[in-house]
Parts: sequence; C-alpha cells; structure tokens
Amino acid sequence: MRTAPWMMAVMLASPPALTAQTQAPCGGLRFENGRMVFGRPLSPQGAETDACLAHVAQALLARPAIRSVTVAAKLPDADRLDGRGLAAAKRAADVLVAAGVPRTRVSAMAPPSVEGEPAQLQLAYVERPAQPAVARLRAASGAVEAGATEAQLLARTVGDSLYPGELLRTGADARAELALADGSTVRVVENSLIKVGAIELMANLQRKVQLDLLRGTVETDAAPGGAGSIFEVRTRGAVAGVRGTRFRVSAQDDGTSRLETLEGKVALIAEQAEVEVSGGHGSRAKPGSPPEPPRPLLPAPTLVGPRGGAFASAPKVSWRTLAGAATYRVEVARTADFAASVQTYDSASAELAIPGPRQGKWFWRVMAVDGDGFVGFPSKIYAFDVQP
Amino acid sequence: MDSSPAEPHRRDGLRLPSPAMLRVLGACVGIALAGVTAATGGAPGFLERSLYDQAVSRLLPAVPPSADLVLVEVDDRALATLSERWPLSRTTWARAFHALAAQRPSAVAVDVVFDQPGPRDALELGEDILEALRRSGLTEQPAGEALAADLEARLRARDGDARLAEAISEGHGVVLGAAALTDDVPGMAPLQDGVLGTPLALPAHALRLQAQEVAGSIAPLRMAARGSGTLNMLVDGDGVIRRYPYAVGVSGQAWPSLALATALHLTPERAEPLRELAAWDRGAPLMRLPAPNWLPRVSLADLLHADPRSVGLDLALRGKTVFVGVTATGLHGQSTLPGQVAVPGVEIHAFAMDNLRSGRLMRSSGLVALLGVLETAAVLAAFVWLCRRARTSGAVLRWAVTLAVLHTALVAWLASDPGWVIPLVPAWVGLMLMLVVDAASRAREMGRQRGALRRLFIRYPQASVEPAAPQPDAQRARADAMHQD
Repeated sequence: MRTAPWMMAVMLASPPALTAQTQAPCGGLRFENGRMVFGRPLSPQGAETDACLAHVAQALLARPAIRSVTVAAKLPDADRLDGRGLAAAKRAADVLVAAGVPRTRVSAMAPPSVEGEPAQLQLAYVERPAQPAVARLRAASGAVEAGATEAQLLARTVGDSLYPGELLRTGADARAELALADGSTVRVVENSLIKVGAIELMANLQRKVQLDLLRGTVETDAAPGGAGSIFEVRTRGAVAGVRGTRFRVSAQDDGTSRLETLEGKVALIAEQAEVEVSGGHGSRAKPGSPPEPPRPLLPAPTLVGPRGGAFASAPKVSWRTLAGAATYRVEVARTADFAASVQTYDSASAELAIPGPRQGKWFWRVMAVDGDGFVGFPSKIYAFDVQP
Repeated sequence: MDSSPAEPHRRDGLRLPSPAMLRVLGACVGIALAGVTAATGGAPGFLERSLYDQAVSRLLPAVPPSADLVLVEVDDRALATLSERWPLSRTTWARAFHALAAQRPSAVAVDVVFDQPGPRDALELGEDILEALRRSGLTEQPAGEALAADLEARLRARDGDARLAEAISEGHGVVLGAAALTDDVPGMAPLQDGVLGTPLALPAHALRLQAQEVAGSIAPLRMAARGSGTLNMLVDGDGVIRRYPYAVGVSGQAWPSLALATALHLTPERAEPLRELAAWDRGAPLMRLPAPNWLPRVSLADLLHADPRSVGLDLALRGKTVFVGVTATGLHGQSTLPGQVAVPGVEIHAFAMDNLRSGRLMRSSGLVALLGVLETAAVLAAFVWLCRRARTSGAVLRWAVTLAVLHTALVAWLASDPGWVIPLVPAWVGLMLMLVVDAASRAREMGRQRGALRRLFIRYPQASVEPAAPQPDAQRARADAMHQD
C-alpha cells in the first residue's frame, strides 16, 4: 500500500472489442433506488409478464443483498376496489415464488394508481442495510457478471450495486463502468476480472479505496481525495497508488503489470522498488522484476476524417501517421463517453474501414500503440451517421 | 494677531451640514434599512422579529379550526400503552395504517421518514431454519409440513416493511414524509437520483430552501403511497420558525412539502392555483398561526386498541384529512413558532396545508418588499416636507407621531388583510433620527438667538453710559495721542 501525494497510477491491458446489447425479456431490467425499472410497462398479466417475472426472479436470486421484494398492481380504482388489483399482484408474486424466490420475501399489494396511467405491475425491493454498496454499475454492455466467487458469478445490469469483496467479470466484447462510492469512476474493458475491495470514506474527504485487478485492464478516473487518502489498484505483481488522477492499469496473462498515466502522478511498486510515473508516461513491471523506468506515451493521433456527415454505409476512417506507433487502436461507440457498447479494432496502417452493417450515429477515436503495447493518449472524438 | 485671519477658516472646516441635509440623511438611513430588509428576504427584518412575533401571535386573528383535519399522535400514552420506544416498529406502524385505512380518511399525511429498512436479523434466522427444515425432509411428514407452514406464516407476519407497504396501499392516499438534505438535517441516506415522483413545475433555483439531495422512505413504501413531501422547516437565526417552505429546490428540481403534496392530493383540480400560491415568497411565505389546541387529536393508542367499528373513531376519522406524527415529550419534532414554544412539527404541516388551501398566506418579498421600501420612503419624505413647514418643535413632534401611527396602522392592515408584510421599524428609525436632528437644530437655533439677545442686552447699558461720540472722531483722537507719545 502506498500513497504519494498528487500521484496517480495506471495500468493498462489489451483492448478490444465490441458488444451487442442483449434484449432482456422485460425489454431491459435495471435496479434503481429500490425500484425495478423495466424497458417497457409490465402489464398485470399475460405470457410476456410471466416471462419477465421469471427473469426478475433469476435476477433476484443472483442478488443475495436483496432481502425482500414487493409486487404492486396499479389498476384503475374501479378494478382495484373490487379486488382485481390485489389478485393480479398475488398472481405475479406466485410466479416469483414458483421461480425460486422464497415466499417469505415476496409481498403483494394494490395501491392507488395515478389517474390516466395504464394498468401495470411495479416491483420494489429492499436491500440488506448493514452492508452499504461500494459501487454501482453505471454502464454495461455484453456479458457483465458479478458475485462473491468466480463460481457464483451471475449476470448484472445497469443500476446494480456491488458490495465489498465482490468480483466483477466482463466477457468477450463486454465493457462495464463502475461508479465508486467515493465518486471515482472505473472502466473495465473486455475479458477483465476485478475484485472490489473495501471503500472507506472518512471525514475531510479522506478515503481509502482498494481494487484488485485479477485479469485484464481498468481505466480509472480517481476522484480527488483529502490529505492521507489512499487509492490503490493491485495486480499480481504490482501496486499503483493513486490520488485524483486518470490512469490505466493492465494485468497481462504472463504476469506483467503495465501502467499508463494520463494525468497526474502514479507510484508503481513491484519487488520492493518504486517508480513515479508522471502524466504522459508509462511503465511496466515484469514478473519478478522491479518496475522499468518511465517512458513517454505516444501522443494523440490527429484524425483526418470523417469529422461528421451522413454515409450510406460505414465509412473508412483515417488519421495521420504517428512516429513510434506500431499499431493503432480504433474505438467506435454509440455514446461520446465511450462508457459501454464500445467496439475496438486494431489497425497497422493509418486508416480503417469500419466493419459490419450499422445504422445511426457513431462516435470514433484512435489511440496509438507502441512496440511494447503501451497505449497512448486518445485522439479527439468525431462522429459519423450511417443512413442506409 | 496673525491668528485672527485663520480663525474664520477653521470654523468653516468644522461647519456641520445644514439641518435640512441632516434630515435627508436620517431619512436615507430609514430607507436603507428598508432596502436591506428587502434584499435579505423581506420583512420581518433583523430588528423587528420580536415585534413581528408579538404581532402575529397576539394581534393577528388566529387560523380558525378546520373541521376536516385531525391529528393522530404518537403521544406519551401511546408509547406507554404499546410498551415501545421511539421509533416504533414497522409492524406497529403497519397496524396503525391498517386501522386508519379501515376508517376511510380522505388522506393521510405522515410526518415520518422511513428511510431505512426495518431490522431483519430475526427474519433471516427464521428463513434459514425454514430452509433447513425443508432440506431435512421433515416437511414431507404432516407434522413437519404444518410446522413449516406455521413458521412461514409467522415470518411473513413479522416482515414489518412488507406489512407496512401493504397497509399503506390499502388507504385512499397516504403521503409520506421526505427530507431535503440540508446542513441541519441529520445524516440520512439520499435517494441516488433524488426521485420522489414527479417534480413540481416551479423554478427550483428561485426557491428559498435549497438542498443538494433528498432522502425519502424505502422504495416499497414509496410505491405503496400516493406521494411524498418534504418535512423541512426554515428556522431563522433566533431559532424561531416563521416561514413554511412549500417547495424545496434540489439539484435543479422542485419537490413539494408534506403540506403541498397533501393539498395536491386532496384537490387535484386546484393543482395550478395551489402551485402558484406555494411559489409565493420564493416558495416559503410567512405563516399565519393557529390557536393553541387548534387541531383535534386522536392518540395512536386509541386508534390501535379501539374497536374498528367504534362510532367515536368513525366520527373522528372518516372522510377527514389525517396527519400522523409524534408529539410525545422529549422526542424530536417540537418546534418554536412566534409566541409559541414546543409545537409538534406535524401540527405545523397541518396548518400550513390549511393556510395553503384557504389562501391565508403572507408574503413579504418581491413586489411586497418593493412596496415596503416605497412606503418607508413616502413616510420619511412626507416628514421631511412637513418639518420644513412646522414652526415649533411641538408641531414637528405631532407630525412625527401622526406619521408613525399612520405607518403602523398601514403595516398592520396590510399584514392582516391582504397578508403583505412590509418593514415597520425602518420608517420608525428614520422618523426618530429626523426628529432628533430637528430637535437639535431647533435647540441650536434657539441657543443662537438667545446668545444674540444676550449680547444685545449687554451692549445696551454700555451704550447709555459712554457718550455716543461719532466713531471717526474717536479714532482721530486716539491717533493724535499716539503721535504725542
């Protein structure tokens, strides 16, 4: 453990890939503020409702922190007062029980509805209060799973909470963005596995955050902390101690830990040796070796185009060649924050024909990668529209 | 001899402004005080809070009792009867709301925030036992099955949060408490997105009470209720609550108070005028005060222990708007109002709701504050003009008293009739300063005239003794004598 004032640490791993949004049975399911939010209104009964409730039951079983769930049937007063509302709620509760949710944890009710709103089912839950969540899944695409151990990993969705000691795994073409309780943001790229350690928030903005990067790459925007704060990302071979900065950390399969500092300073510690890696530099620690001296990261490539406009098919994107770049990493995403649903492609030349049929607005950016795999600064972000 | 030319110059440097200028300065002080009061949120200003408190508590007519409001209170007797300590258990609250729903009130406003789940340790232990029982195979026998069913029923009955949600959903409309997390609110877990339902269509940033986050009851209870309203009060620096915040600005959104949320639920057809009234005075108008014991009360003990078919309960609660809160001695929720101490917070929400729906609100900012400055300026300008015309100090004093009385009467009438509270003291201060200036200037003038008369009468006897020789001759004779020397 280590804290160097105004320093940051980053490790980076290999990138990749792309993701497709999965279509859940309920049109999407999120857990927000104690409410389950569905992608579409849940009608009081029907085959679609039963399928959705079965999906909800699986999601509940995957979240041991949720201690009870309440099903509310909100029907117009005429239906509600003659008992049909409560009957619909109890029927839905029975579906949950039949799918494995303990009956003692399910309750049903028929509260008054808001005039004009369609009849629908709503679900709310109560989480275990003694164990505060340390992170929340702010964005996710692809297979994102979490659980107490690798054997207990279950699918998670946006809005889910993570508790101390839980593991989070991203599959191929998956990405996740975590909002930590201290205000920091952690982006987990594909094929990564992290363990969320304890997060302690103390007076005077002092905080202590520990993340274990077991595999893959995380990119972190560490929120500024008060004096004495600790923010650490641990890999098998190294520790990056950070304060209020932006960095990437990668844990490679061969045991090499790689750090790229984009802003501020980071201390990379391995084999009882330490190097300070300031913004714009990177370092790595091979297994059994102390960290290498910092090396400059490649600057952001200059994009040529397209810088906007509409195209009948996915266009070819190009940028200027950068000295020292071995390859280029092109990221394409639906949103300009590149938080989720990011597709990553590698290119040896300064152009790339964006593959695949696609439609709508896409954002893209490029990063240069040197011969040792250090990823440089990201370029500006441009967009293009595909309108077949 | 050299100093003689310098003396008049020094007197010029010390010369005081003219009395007229001093009177204008006194008027400016009064107007400035009124301006400061307007700029700092309107009357009552810092200097006149005590006067305001005495006036609204003793002189203004109290809010008349409303026949359709009733308070269900957690009082000392309820705590003793239930053998519980505050906060009450969720199962007790569930029983209370179930009993309330049976009386069919038109609305129930709750001065409580259920922001944390109830304890579940015993439930989880019971669930583990039940699970172990089923895994053991004992439930395949009739006795084991009966035991498991009984255990399951007991666990279900003891799940306070779920039972409370069910009880709340049985009613026609329950409005739960919430809390805007300001500095004076004890630590509560904020709702992650600050969601309490649909925010009000009011300019949130202009509201007097602002907060960064809001806390509310747990999600199942919010889902079962008709809505939520904030319980915050605006406490002045002297610890007295004079304004009720009908709306709170939280991160750019406006959320209703318990009083406003209840009023909106009761009269949805009047939503727009209610919102307009609630937005007066930046969302926190001054309050009309109720008489002591204004609200009929029913103890929670009676509600829980009386026969649900009781005629007394039916008369007290059916069709009424019920406010639920704690009034037991020593518990939080006791607030200080002008002229009244230890008023339970739930009563304040009740008469704030009554004031809102009847339009009995008092306003002091915006155009009313501007009116206050103009009125103060008019009073002081009139006195400046009258001072110049008055020939005696007595006349000036009479004008000052007359204007002060007229000003006080106007302020009192504006407060009692249209409910506009304008500054009282600044005009008094201005009048007093001008009166002092006038008295001083008249005294100085009298002193000057007295001195002149005295000099005149001293000079007159000297003139009668000496011969009245022409001055040029005397000078000439004095000059001749010097030449002879």
